[in-house]
Parts: sequence; C-alpha cells; structure tokens
Amino acid sequence: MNLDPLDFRFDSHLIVAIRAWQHLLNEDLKAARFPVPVHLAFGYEGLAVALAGVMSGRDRVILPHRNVAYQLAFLRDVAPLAREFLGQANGVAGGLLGSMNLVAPCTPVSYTTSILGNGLPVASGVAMQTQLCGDNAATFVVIGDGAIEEGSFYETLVFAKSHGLSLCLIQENNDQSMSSSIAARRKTIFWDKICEAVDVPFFQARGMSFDDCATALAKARDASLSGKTPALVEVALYPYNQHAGPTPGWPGDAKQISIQGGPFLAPPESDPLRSIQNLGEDEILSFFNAILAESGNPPAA
Amino acid sequence: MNLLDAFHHHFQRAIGDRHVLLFGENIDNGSMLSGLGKGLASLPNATILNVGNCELTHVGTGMGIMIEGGHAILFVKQLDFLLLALDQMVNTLNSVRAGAPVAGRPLGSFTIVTYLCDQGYQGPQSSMVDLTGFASLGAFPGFLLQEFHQIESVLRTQLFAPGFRILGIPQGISRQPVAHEVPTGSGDGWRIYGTSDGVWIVSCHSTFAQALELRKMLEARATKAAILQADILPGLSVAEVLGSHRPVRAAVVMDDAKGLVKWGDLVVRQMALASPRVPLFFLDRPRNDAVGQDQITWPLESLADQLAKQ
Repeated sequence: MNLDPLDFRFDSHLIVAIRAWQHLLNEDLKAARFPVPVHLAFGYEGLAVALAGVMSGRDRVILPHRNVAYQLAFLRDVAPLAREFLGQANGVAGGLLGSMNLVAPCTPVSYTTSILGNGLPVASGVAMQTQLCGDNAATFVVIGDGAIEEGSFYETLVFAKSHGLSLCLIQENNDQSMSSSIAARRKTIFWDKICEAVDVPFFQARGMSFDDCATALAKARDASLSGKTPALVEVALYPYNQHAGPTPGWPGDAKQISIQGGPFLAPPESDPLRSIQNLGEDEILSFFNAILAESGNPPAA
Repeated sequence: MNLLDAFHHHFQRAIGDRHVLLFGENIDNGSMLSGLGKGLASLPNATILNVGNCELTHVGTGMGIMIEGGHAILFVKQLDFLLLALDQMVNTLNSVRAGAPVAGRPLGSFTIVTYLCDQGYQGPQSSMVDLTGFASLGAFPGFLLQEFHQIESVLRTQLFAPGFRILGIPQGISRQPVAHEVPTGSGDGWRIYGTSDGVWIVSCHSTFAQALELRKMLEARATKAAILQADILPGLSVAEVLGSHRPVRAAVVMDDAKGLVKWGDLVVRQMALASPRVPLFFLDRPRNDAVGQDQITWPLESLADQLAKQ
C-alpha cells in the first residue's frame, strides 16, 4: 500500500498514522539508530492534528523540543523525518537540524526550540511581524507545563496583550517536566486567573479528544484574531512515553509501548485514538497495519 | 558635532524611507533613552514602539521579526540590561543561523543599539563595559561606534544586513566631539587611519581616543604610526590585514573591555602566530572594578618611548 495525502480522508486517519509513525521511530530509538535525542509524543496525536487543521493562510507556529507529533502532522510522512534524525542529507532539513531544533521547509513552523520558555519571546516577534505586514494571521506557540513556569511566559503574555498581538499559546499540560510532576516542584497555578488578570482569553481542552482540541484551538484563534489579543489554551495530556529516547527506557520501566501491541495504548481513558468517532476499532487497526506494512513491518495483533 | 549627534545623523540617512520597527523603553518620550532615540519620529516609514520592561522579550521579539524576514532595531539604555536576554542572543541565534538556510527562508535583520556605561556614570553594577563578552558568547558581530566615518560605514552596511549584531556607543564620550579621521583603508570590520613607517596601533573595543593620543605622541617622536581599528567581527584576521599593509616593525594592541577575555587577546594571538618576531605590546584596562574608563591612566608616554625606538 502506498499512502499519499489522499489516504488521510479524515483527520482520524492522520491521528492513527502519527501513532504508527511514532511506533516506528520508537523502534529506531530502541535500536539506538538515531545519533540525536528524540522526544516522542504518544498521546499528543489528536492535539497535533487539531493544530494542523486549525491553522490556515499565513498562520505560523513555534514548537518546543517535543515536536515530533506536530512535524508529522505537517509533513504527513515519517521517512524524511527519520532520515533527518539519522543525520542524512536527504532528511527533511538536510540532516543538519536533528529533532529539537527542526524547522522543515514548506511547513508553517517558524522556529523550534530546545530551551524551556525560549520560544515565547520569539513568538511575540513572529506575531509582531505578522501585524506589521498587515496579515490577518495568527501565531501559535506550543509550550509545556514546565516552560510555562519560566518568566518569559508572563513577559510574553503582557507584551502580546499590550501590543495587540494575535498570539495563541498552547500549554501542553502533561504533569511532567523531565521526570517531575507539577506537585513535586511547585504550587498549583490557576491559569484562568492569570489570564483574567491581564485580560487574556483562556480555553481548556482534553488532549485525548481531537474534537475538544480542535474546538478550543479554533475558538482561541478566532478570539485572538478578532480581539487582537493573545489567548491561552491549556490542554491536558497523558505522557505515554518517557521524556526522551525509547519507551520502555529500561528493564522494568513502568511505561510500556509496543508496536506489536497495536495502535491503542493504556490507560485507555487518555488515548486520543479511543475518542475517534468515525472509524471503528477494526478500521483503526487496519489503517495502522497498512502504515506498518508500507515500511516493511509485520502487522500488529 | 558630538558622538551622539554623529550617530543620529548617519542613522537617519541609513534608515531613509525603509520599513523598519524601532522599539525600546521610552524611545520617543522623556529623555528618549538619554538621547539615543532622538529624531526617530521623523523617519517616514519607521514604526516606533515604546515597550515595557522585559528585555528578554524585547530581544526575542527582534529575533522573531528577523526570522520572518523583517527588520527591527532595539534601543537599550545600557549594555548590562541585555544580560537578561542572553538566552536569545546565544541559543536562539545559534538555532536561527543553522535553521534559516535549511528552511530556505530569507533572514531579515535585527540590530541592538545601546550605550556602554562605565564606573562613575551609573554606578558599579551598571558598568558592563564588555561588548566582546556578549559577542563572543553568541559569535555575532559587535561594533563600538567612535569615529565619524566608522559610524557612517557601520550604520550603512549593518542596519539591514541579514542577521544580528549589537552597536555600542560609549556613553562617557557620547557628548564629546566625535573623532573625525578619514580612513586611508578599510575592509569588512576594520579601518586604517594614517600611514605607518612600521609602527601599528590596533584599537579594539572603545580605545580609539587613546589610540589617537598615542599616535600623536609618536608623531612628536618622529614616528609615523597608523591606527587599525578592529570591530568585533567573527572571522576577522587582523594579522592578515596587517600582513597586506607592510612594513610591520612593532605593534601595540589596545583594549579596554572589562571581561577576562578580550577581542585584543585574539588579535595578539593572531599576530604572535603570524609574525612571531615583531615586538608586540598589549595595553588593557587595570584589573580594578573601581576604576572607570575615564579614570584609567594609560601608560602612553612610556609606550611611545618604547615604540619610537623600534
């Protein structure tokens, strides 16, 4: 089976494809094939596809180090990404940029950063340039629940609000920064109240639901463009994989991901594949296996 | 015309009617950043933006505009404020330099214009007299504006050149008459003033006034010395420049940066490797944080005596 973009008739097909592609990358990580660190994003597929679908026209996005799911959503292919991680000249960025700072041609990605909070001020500039050019376009910036603790978050929120920038901040809240939970490193922060204090629209979404993500992101984009304001979207996600490298990362690792185990992950309540409405489980498995077959892998059970 | 006026004069000409974002704190009101922002409002196609106190975001914003192909110039009251934004000037810049060519997107420009204060002007905490240190960390160009023609050349060639740089104005001499010497030779990142019968003065960082003074002392000793002013430019080889302007019988390298590692150190290394037999003198500021640039006693007379004998 040769896949082309027409095979992604529904967003759900792309969600399943990104899950399968991440399994392929995870197998490469297990075999230590990549000379660069790669941060997978099992469980982020619905959010990534939602973002790719919501963005339009001259919208731009700034990504964090854990950007694989988004790159796959924009590229709709894993091969050029894997070649990039291998450092090959026919990689999507000539094998020069690796994973954490990958900016692939012909995508809406302006900048990708491996430094927590570093992308926020840059996003202000991208949004500022959009405004100076008179484009009716939004700038998205993705950060994690660790990066949002940096001072640049507060600075950016105030700066973007003060200058009427259409900037949508997406907080991936997976309750994990490296290996620490939020409770282990800080007090709870009420993001709605922070946003209220600076008059910034605030939205929430469940990362396991593509529809939830797409709706929240679309609302944030609309609010940001119509109100010339930043907006914050907090997305609750479950991290199915280790911070970086393969999962499982060591013998006895509590996190277990297996390509042979099929497309679905445990716990099921956080898996975006479980919330796909327009494909049955058999169709999801069939499409998942088709992706694996395309890369010469045996079907999952 | 003082140094600051010379900057404004050439800045207005370099910007002309081009589209550019000029931003900073209080740049078009109050003291206009101690005069740095004077006259910006008269530029027809410049967008002027007063911004809050968030230097990290200022610099990141400039980087973002540059990434998207735009042009931005940030005015900063003094260099030490930029310490808050080093992440952008090092990490972001590294990533952008590598990523932009790969992504196939033309890079715009981002320039920071700032004063360099010294001990005595704003107090010890605000005497970060070391543009080299910043430029070295991010491997980007730095220019200390000190002479009329140099200012013209730097502003004309740098303000819209793709990439990032910092232009520094030594605040201590900003209200003094600008040095006005016609270069006898120039290249990318360097200018030669005068002709030499073998003695060279390499002026690094903000030592141009001292270099002029030393040259005058040498003239009084019947020694023709030329000044080579070297900007902080990655890849610049002062040894190569001097190699094509022989003879070089002796050289003195001057550098007043406060950091441990100076641009002049690199120049000395280049020259020592290229011409190990040429007598080399190095003048830097005393290792004393309580002494400002205008309080430094440069041993120019004794140095002139030694150089005249070479």
